[in-house]
Amino acid sequence: MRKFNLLNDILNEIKNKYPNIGSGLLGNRVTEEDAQLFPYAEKILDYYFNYNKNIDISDISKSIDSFARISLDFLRLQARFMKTLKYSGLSERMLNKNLYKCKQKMEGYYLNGLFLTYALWPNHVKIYRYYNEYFLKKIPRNTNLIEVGGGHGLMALTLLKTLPGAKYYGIDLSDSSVRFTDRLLRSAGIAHINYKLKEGNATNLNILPFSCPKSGLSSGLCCEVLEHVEQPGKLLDFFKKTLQKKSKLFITTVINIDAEDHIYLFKNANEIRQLFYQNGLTTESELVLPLNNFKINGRFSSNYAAILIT
Amino acid sequence: MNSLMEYNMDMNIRLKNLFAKVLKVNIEDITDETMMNNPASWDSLATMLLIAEIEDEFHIEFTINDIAKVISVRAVKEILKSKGINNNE
Repeated sequence: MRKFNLLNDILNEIKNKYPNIGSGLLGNRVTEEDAQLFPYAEKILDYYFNYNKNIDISDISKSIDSFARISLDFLRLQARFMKTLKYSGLSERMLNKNLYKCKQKMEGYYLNGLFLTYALWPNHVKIYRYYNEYFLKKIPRNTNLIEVGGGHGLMALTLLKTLPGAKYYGIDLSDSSVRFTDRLLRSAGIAHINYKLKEGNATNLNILPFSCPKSGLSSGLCCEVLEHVEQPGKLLDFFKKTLQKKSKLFITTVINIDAEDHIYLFKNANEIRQLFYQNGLTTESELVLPLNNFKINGRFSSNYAAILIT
Repeated sequence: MNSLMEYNMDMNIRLKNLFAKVLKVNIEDITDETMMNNPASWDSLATMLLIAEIEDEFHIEFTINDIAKVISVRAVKEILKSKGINNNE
């Protein structure tokens, strides 16, 4: 099966099986930009299906169900958010217990579903393109990169495939995420010497859970994590202290978009920029992606990504 | 009992009003056969708005399984029926 057919087949399968999420997917209205995004979506699917065979998620139907669950949950929670303008998330402690430490949920649907959102949700594909084109092409080819909250491991895998001389250091609250990423990287043929993964909470770390490379950590990644913690400033402070000066940090978050594990609500992009400024980080570039130009009481719901300099 | 009957009696109208408002079409154009993408204004975003409006109007909460079924007016009526809100036309 050609890769392009796989993307089309998956999109068609979702539209048939879950029509009420189909219209929000990549390629629903094929624009010139959509066509430019297809190669990135195909690359993600390639990573997902070719390299995940060992962890029993190669079954397309099961993967689609996982993706649909994440999408339907978004519809459910966003509908509620529109009424309350508050996130429904629990405390960090409860989320840790109910989700991040729950193997059944994390490895049952959550990590697989979230991985696929990067191929199928237009804003996530655009963020992935931004990561490839504006971040990976501009960091040192032999960078030592630290990621907090790598989750499903897509960004780690993309880094190590794109820059084979790079070393990856990942910290995640969830042991399921650590396992999932490790299996993904191993299945993709990434040598273990090129990455280290540890379970840990970056907002509460006195020392790194692995030995720091002698040449220092020269790049950072923090995708969709700020909104999952009670004090996102602590995460930024962690990067500011851990990375060498003038390092690049790729960061993404959301504005007025709810999910089962969203805690910290950014009401607009200025609140995010202010937080960067307060933590001594300068913005090199940013991407603000409104969700269908959808406004709630004057507030836009958007995905947000930025490349920062420490 | 009377108030419950009245509540049930106008369910169809209330539902049609919600759909007409969210989908920005005339109430006469809303039938049981109205479904996603027909009218074109019923997309994923409209589904989200419909869920919010229906939950508010009928004091219910949709589950993920319910939301997966929100693809036509008839399907929404079935969901409401399963939650004890009858469709007396």
